[in-house]
Amino acid sequence: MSTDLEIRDATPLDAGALLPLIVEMGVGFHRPSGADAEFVARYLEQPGHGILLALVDGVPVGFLAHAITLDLYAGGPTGEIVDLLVTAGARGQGIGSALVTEAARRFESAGCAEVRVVTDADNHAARRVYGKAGIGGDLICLHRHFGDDASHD
Amino acid sequence: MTDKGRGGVTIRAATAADAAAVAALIRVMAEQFGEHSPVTAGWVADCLGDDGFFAIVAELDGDLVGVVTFVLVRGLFHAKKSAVIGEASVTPAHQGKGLGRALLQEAIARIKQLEVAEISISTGFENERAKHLYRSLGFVEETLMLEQHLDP
Repeated sequence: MSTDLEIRDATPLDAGALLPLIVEMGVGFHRPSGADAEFVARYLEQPGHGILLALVDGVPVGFLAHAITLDLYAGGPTGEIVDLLVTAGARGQGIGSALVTEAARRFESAGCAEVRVVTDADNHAARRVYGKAGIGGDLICLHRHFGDDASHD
Repeated sequence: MTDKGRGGVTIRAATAADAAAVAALIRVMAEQFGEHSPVTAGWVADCLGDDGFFAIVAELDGDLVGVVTFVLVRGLFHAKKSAVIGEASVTPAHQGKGLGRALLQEAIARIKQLEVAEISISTGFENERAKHLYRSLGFVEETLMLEQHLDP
């Protein structure tokens, strides 16, 4: 892991740093993102939502968007890892693991009963990162899309 | 209230008065899978009181025999929110009668009105019955749901 790694909470003022990372995430999804600064601010203003920003030598290299949601089965709030990205040039340095570890620490502090994340089956790098943090399991998640993903509501 | 006319079963939104019965349904679902759910009536009541939490129940002769819940989650990639279906359960005595499908259809209809980008639902890899039902309702893309249980 880089010794110069800093992980901190993003604020709406970090939108300029986050947007290129969100665009890069869209490339991985093969779909463009319609996110803009207002979109980032709207995410952050929701109760229980936050973004951890990873910087190396002050340069943004990744982020983890998290949210606390409600789930009956767990019997308490659930910590969701909503999005995770480490920029291509900074992978393999433990930055993803550091982000996930910090998110899990915060979920536990918030009294969450469990941590959940959805990832692609062939995203082996992400699965390694989550596995190292103790996040695993044998559930399949099925999705139904309604299109117009990139448009603003 | 929506009466689907399935043998007198009513499909409707859950209310605070359903909290204890919904908790009991969730515990039955857990037992079916050899698991334990720590859900309590109080936790269900808390969830039902949250603006971002929704529950649809199936009622027969005054008893709840099925439940589907969902929450809305905002992400950084989708401009619109996503709906995540948390629980989808029918009591063992009433399975195989189309109640699960009716509950999910009602949930999907309500979710559509909320203009979300997508809906997701999860189940065990080996639960072929559930996967068949979900695929028949338009859930086609498959990913993994990973979890870690904490000890709050």
